[in-house]
Amino acid sequence: MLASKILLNGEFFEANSSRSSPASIKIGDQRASVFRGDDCISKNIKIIDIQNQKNIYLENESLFVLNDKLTKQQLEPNITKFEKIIRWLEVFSFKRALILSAILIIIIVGFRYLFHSVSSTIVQIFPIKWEQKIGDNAYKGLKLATFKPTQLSAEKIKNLTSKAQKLIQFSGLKITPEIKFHKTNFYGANAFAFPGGPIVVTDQLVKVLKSDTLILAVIAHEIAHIRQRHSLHQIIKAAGATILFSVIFGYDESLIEEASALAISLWLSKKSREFEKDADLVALDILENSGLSKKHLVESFEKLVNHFCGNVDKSDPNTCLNDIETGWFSTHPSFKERLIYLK
Amino acid sequence: MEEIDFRGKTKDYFGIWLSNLLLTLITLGIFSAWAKVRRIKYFYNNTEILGHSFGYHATGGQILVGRLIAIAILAIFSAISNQLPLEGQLVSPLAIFFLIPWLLNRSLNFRARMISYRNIRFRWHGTYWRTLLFFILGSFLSIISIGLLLPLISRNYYRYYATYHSFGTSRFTTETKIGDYYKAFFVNALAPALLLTCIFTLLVSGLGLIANNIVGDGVIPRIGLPFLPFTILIFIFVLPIIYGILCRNLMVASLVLGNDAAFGSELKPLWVVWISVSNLLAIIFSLGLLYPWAQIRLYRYLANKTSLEVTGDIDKFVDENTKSIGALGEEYSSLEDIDVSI
Repeated sequence: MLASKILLNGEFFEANSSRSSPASIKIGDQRASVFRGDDCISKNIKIIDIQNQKNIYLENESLFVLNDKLTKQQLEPNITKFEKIIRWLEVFSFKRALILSAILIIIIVGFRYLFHSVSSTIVQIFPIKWEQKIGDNAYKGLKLATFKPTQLSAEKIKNLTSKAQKLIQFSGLKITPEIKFHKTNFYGANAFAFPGGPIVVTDQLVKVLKSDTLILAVIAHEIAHIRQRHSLHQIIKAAGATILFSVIFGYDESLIEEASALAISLWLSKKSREFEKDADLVALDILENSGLSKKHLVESFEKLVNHFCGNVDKSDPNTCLNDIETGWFSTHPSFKERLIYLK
Repeated sequence: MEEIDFRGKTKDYFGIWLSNLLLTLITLGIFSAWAKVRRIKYFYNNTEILGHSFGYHATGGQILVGRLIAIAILAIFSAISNQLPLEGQLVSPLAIFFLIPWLLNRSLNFRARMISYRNIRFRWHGTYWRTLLFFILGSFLSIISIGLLLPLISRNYYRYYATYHSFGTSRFTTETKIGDYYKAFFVNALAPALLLTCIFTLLVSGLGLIANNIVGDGVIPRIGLPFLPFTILIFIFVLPIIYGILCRNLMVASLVLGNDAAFGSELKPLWVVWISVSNLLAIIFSLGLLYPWAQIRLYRYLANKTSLEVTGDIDKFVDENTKSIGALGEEYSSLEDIDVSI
């Protein structure tokens, strides 16, 4: 820590005391001896830490505060190479700050691309059983909170389940997620794919779409989510983004923390919209492979638009479509956009 | 009254921040434990009272070990939870909930013991049940009472935080009136926050009205609605900042250390709001590069508006022997974001 032996003046604080007295300190080879006048009051004690270039903390819990800060030359000779690199990085100059900032931005951008490929690899090697466990737990939680027993007839359920299982066979999925039907007062006409299954279809969706083929088109979309493992992608991306933001900005100020959360949320919403679009396009393939028309997906969306527009007292679907355009925070692309790329 | 002096400089801290960030990214986060120590050390070492600066004594190794243990505990809880049926899975969050006061006490004690001034370490004496009551259940009570009990709870929260800290063996004391906290909340915090929200809403509605006259019907909701979340955000963020600062002022202004020192705090809430908001904008527009400047700016303001008057003998403080303290509590708290905000 310190080069050759040097004698310096300052204040000496004995262990566990705030009382100080003028003294001098002889330091060298990371050890120190403290003198009051000619008397040596602490001999050859190990230096634990030097803070602020003037506060010398000793192993016997005493402190010596120098009158003047140690110079870099006095501090530097015995520090490790790693400490030297850190100190070099710490010293501010405009040119160095510019270069390091550029390196930092390159590293962050590099991380962004590295993270993309790493997250894909993690998704590939993540055991499907674990994913199914996550999905099962999430389903059970929602079932307790919002899902009620279905009121559809047993025959209708059997019929739809059987057709959906055939759809799964043509989807390329290696697992067979369960198809479950529930009544819900919270989600309305909707369907959900939990990670690794099950797929939940609400009674309201069955009633709104009526036709089995239209319901199957929506189920194909949910199967696509499971096949593409979108939920897992989303979980990994959320974790990665949160870690990166917390490394850069820490948790020091509430406003910055909130702004980080907002930025992550916006980015995840964008990712979610991309996943929805991907699921729509994969669903078209699944429908085609199973011998159903791709048009059914478009028809099901149109019917849902009419249903939602009817709920908000808008009879003209085109006017309604313009009004229900989604924003940055939306997890789904707007119906208008979906109908355009599906057609 | 002696002002607390902060001698940190943006250009010095910029180097520390940048090197911390680079090394943390390169080491995939491992260096962050040492980065944390370097960051805190910089701020404490540059904070001076009566010519002496504070010391910070935690090590990166302690923080890293604490983090690894915290991750292991979380993994064990998660693994146990996964093996249980759904109803049984509530056991894990419940167990963590009842662990929080203990962890908070460990965290506060660790932080206090790692800070020294004139060779005397600080100390936290909180008990499990008081921490549970004042730091955790108090928050629920203020929500249940729709904020009506918030000033009462805040007073106990801040008083507990202050009086259960000590400087060596000397305890801090504070005497504040409940009425001051009620006044701070309803008159000085809620009213200005409502006023700001109203002004913003009126401004947005006014713009909508003007646009309506120019363009035609139906413009008002289209212009006003997208701004509604921002109006709510102003209310949500401005109120806690203003109220937090007022509570801090009340606590610090009545703070006494033994019979030897009294403190003062003259933070201006709206000035802190301004600093926070302008810091945020500066960070966003500089792509994060002004983050060190923003931190120094806020810290300097907080330090400079806090003062101390020595009324006794500053040489007479003594400490108990330092025992080794693990960093587990602190790291678990940061992982779970269950910090005490003062």
